[in-house]
Amino acid sequence: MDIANSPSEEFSFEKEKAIAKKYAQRFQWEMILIGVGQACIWLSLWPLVINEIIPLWSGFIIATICACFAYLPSHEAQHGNFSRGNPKKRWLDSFVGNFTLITLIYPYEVLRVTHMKHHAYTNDKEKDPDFQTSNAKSIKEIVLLVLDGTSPDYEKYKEVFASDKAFQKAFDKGVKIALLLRFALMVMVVLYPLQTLLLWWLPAKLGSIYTTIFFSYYPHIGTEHGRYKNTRFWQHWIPRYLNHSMQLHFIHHLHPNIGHYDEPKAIEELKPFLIAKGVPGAEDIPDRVTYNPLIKF
Amino acid sequence: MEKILEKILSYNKAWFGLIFIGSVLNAIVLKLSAFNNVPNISIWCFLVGFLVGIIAHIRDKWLWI
Repeated sequence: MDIANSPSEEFSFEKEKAIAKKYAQRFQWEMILIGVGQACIWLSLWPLVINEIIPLWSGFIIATICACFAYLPSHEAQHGNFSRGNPKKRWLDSFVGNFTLITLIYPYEVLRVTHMKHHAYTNDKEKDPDFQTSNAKSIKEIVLLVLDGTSPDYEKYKEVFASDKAFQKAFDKGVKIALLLRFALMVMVVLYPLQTLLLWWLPAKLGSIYTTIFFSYYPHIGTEHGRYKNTRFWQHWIPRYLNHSMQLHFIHHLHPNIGHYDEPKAIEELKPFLIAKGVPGAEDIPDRVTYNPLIKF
Repeated sequence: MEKILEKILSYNKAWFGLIFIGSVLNAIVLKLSAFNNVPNISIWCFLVGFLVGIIAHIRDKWLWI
């Protein structure tokens, strides 16, 4: 859709943007707390388990919960939602983005640049780095793809965006972090094999499966190309508090700078715009989204 | 030097098999009394891990999907 020529003046892009901007100002302190908090809890599990203060099985459960919380703070950082355009605060994006992803064994810079391409080319078979998972045939396929470690194939997108110098520079920076994380994993597995398996590798895989299913698969099922068509509103039997409110992911694709915890209020105000622009599932958005678990069996 | 590093990294699945899978298998069998009397059990564990990694390297994927 040509956003400069929206269907009517009443629902113009300028008006939509002005409303969205109201919710894209607040400092995202909750996300910093979650990101840094889960990483600190995860780090503290190592001495607790190694010194047998807590059993390995309980460490595994806590580590898996940490891994499920690890991606979203990095995602906010990827969009610069901590610095909010202030160059003096960019270190905060980088710090939170990198630190929170240790649990998931992912390099922040690689995720950041490929995520920007996901936004730019959502549902494009050749250029969307998330295409394989967001267009998977089933949850089983996602589980197998993540376990196999081939999803997404980041190296492929390094070739696809070979002419994008900024992409290449950030990607190469991320590869160094990836190697460092991989080296740390190898050192730890030699020293503490079962602890590394159950506190790091397996929780990271389970966290990645959780993240891929709720961040990539469900929000994009059956969607098309185009700003207002590439992500949908959906409902699920799991309360939105347990899947990071990804039922509302469409608003993030429209206005990535809206803070995650401000999305429900933004959607309430933008609902008429979303229906007018034909966002998939917009008619089913309840008038009150805040505190609504959005359960549907 | 860079080329040597690249060559080593191109066998990442084999290294992962040898070091990660080998270490985990070794830790598991050392906890199982059934393997107590098997000679050179650690070598076998790392060999199995390396073999799994080499197969994954040749197939370019870990699972049969």
